Amino acid sequence: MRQSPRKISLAEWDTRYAEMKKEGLPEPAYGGRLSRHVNNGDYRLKRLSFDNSPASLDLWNFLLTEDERLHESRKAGRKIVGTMKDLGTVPVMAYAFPNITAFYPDGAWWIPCVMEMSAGLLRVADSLGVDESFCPVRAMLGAFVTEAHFPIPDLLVCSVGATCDDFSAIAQRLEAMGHAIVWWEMPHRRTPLTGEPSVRMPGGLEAPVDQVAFVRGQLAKIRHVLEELAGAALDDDQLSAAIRVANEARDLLERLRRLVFTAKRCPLPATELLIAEMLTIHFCSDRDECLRVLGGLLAEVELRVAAGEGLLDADAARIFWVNPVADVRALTLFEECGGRLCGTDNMFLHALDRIPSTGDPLECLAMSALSDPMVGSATDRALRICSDAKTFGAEGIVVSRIPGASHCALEGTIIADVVRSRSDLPVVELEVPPVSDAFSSSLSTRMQALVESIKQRRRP
Amino acid sequence: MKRILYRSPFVPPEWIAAHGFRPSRILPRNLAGSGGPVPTLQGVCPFMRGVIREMCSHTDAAGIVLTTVCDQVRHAADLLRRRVETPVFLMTVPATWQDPAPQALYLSELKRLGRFLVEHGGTTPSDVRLAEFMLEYEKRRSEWRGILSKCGSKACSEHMAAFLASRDLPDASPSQERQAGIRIALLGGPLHLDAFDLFDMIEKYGGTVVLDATETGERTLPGPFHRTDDFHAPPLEDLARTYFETIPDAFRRPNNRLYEWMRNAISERGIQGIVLVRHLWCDTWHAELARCSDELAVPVLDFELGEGHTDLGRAVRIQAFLEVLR
Repeated sequence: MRQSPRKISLAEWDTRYAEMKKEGLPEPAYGGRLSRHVNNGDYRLKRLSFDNSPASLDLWNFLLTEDERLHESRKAGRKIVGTMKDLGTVPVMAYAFPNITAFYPDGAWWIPCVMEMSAGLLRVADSLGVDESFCPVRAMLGAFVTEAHFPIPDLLVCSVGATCDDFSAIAQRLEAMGHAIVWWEMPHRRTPLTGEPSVRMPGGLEAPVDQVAFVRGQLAKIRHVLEELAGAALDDDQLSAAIRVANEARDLLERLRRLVFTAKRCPLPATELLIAEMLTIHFCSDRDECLRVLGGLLAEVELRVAAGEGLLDADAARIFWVNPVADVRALTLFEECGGRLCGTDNMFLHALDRIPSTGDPLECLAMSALSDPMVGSATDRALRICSDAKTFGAEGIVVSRIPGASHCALEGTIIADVVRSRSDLPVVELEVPPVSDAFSSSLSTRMQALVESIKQRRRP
Repeated sequence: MKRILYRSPFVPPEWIAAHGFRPSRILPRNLAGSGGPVPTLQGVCPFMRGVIREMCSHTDAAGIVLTTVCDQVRHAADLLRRRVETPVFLMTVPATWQDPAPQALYLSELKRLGRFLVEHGGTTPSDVRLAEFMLEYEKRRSEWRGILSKCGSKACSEHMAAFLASRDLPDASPSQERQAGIRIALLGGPLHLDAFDLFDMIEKYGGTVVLDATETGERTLPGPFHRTDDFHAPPLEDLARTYFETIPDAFRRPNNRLYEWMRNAISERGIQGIVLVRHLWCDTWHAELARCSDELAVPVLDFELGEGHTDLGRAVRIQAFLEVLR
């Protein structure tokens, strides 16, 4: 059943799937041919290329069946919590309750891409006064109106404060449409003053103790709201256990990322790695299965690396990628241009770093939340990028802007500034819209320019 | 006296003045042109860029105070620190307000601002000194409110802008005359100085601005202090509570107080139409446009300010809006 790693098309996957079925492929309940999702409107799959491993098939199927899973959770009597914006904090707590399933409505930002605009979500957002000057996460509004994707949650919680204006404004619009939201404050993370008590955070940053205490207080509020919804109290032992499980997922991902970024030959395509990173934010609505899928992917990559196998050219340019792409096709294009991922910051590194696990569990979670790269200064974020790029041996950096996102316009400038002052790595900025076909020529040109420049720099 | 530059209405000038500085609220004259530390890029708010450029031109300032109420300003503070020598203070202003913790955070941020001011040449004020400044500003605001109930808003908005920029009172008092016409409210983000022409444009086409609820107008005047005559409790707490609780704004979460405030104003002043003024790329106000139309019982005109301020197309929009309201 195992084959040498290769990128294959959707049609090739169908053939391979039929072969694997004959050979007795064990499948989870959500398994099946990948192309079936096209019948559900996920047309973008036809334009992508995929890793050919059974583990990657599970990864894709797990991702693309999340809405079904959420509807099944509702039918089974579980409470559905929509956690918004914090990307990786509240779900850790929510999954400590046996009768709660948490997910990110923010994830709807990929629907216009995956369904190639056929779902009409952006048109709905337009009609609500949230037009293309906003980030594609405005698709979330459309998903709430059409109710054709995720079920409407029993509870919505949203972090605001040091978050992007787009999301905060869109969430406020959602509340005004009648969807009650429990807001919690995330302050801008600042550098401790001289002599001010501070604490070392995941990712190596320092933050004032007072700020950690403040965020802890906000999370205590959310814990109380979740307890009311679940009809049961959550004690510290239960929360600590939930943090341990979250860390299991993060540990698997950390090993996976390190192998993908540092292996001599690239053992996993960029799109599959991006999806793996996104799973850890909220376990893709099934915590146990998320661990199994990540474990399977890691095992496959370990086998490949041990066997010296890989995809892409052996001399692919090693590039650190900043920000998630609104169109996953851009990552396929990136690899076609001769690049391979060698480090990522998809705006939620705090959801990948281990959560501190000693002491008060709510404080540990607060530290994790406060280490969000998006709530601090762009300089802090850029310094982490420089450090990780060095660790993973990146030769260049792509800063991928999200169209309309309020933070992107200036952040890219600051990140490029810092990287250029701290290293000699070349930096290219580009912007990826939800369906980027019309821009593929200019995107390719920019990526090729970076790849060529990296390869020239390798010459003695 | 050295100046401290600021822009947000959530930065109390009383607090800066009590530390021995001249608080100076910066409004750029116009937004056109390049230069300054913030680059001209798609997605960058032209008003924010203009403010930062203006701030950087005041090289004699002792410090710059920015706030987190806007994502772009938050990032601009980061950029400024890398590009200019003037000390920059970024103050957290919580968006939420429904539990006591955010207000306590705002108070602690004022205290941190106080330490910043002392570090850069200021002196820690006594409670009495702070109370004196609070009363002075409170008196001024009370006068403005009195004038606003009777006279045209442009004169008063300009008067406020001039005072808040320098703490010097302009020679002429605002006019006591208000032109008859269709009663218009301006609502939205801040106006730059050249955009004050909007008042004239509205008058030219038969309207009169009876409420300036932009960020630079009446809406962001904090309410009266709880203990203006008798500061037994620490006045800083009163200052924090008043600024935090009484300024309705679009960025608050939830922001229903803004709508309550507007509904009252519409009723009290007989407002017939609203011009929602927003800057290009300002998501916070842009997203409120449709809700204003849904929830406020008068017609709303979307008025986007670009780098230029009052071009022909915008004038025609105002003219058509007032024609419809006749």
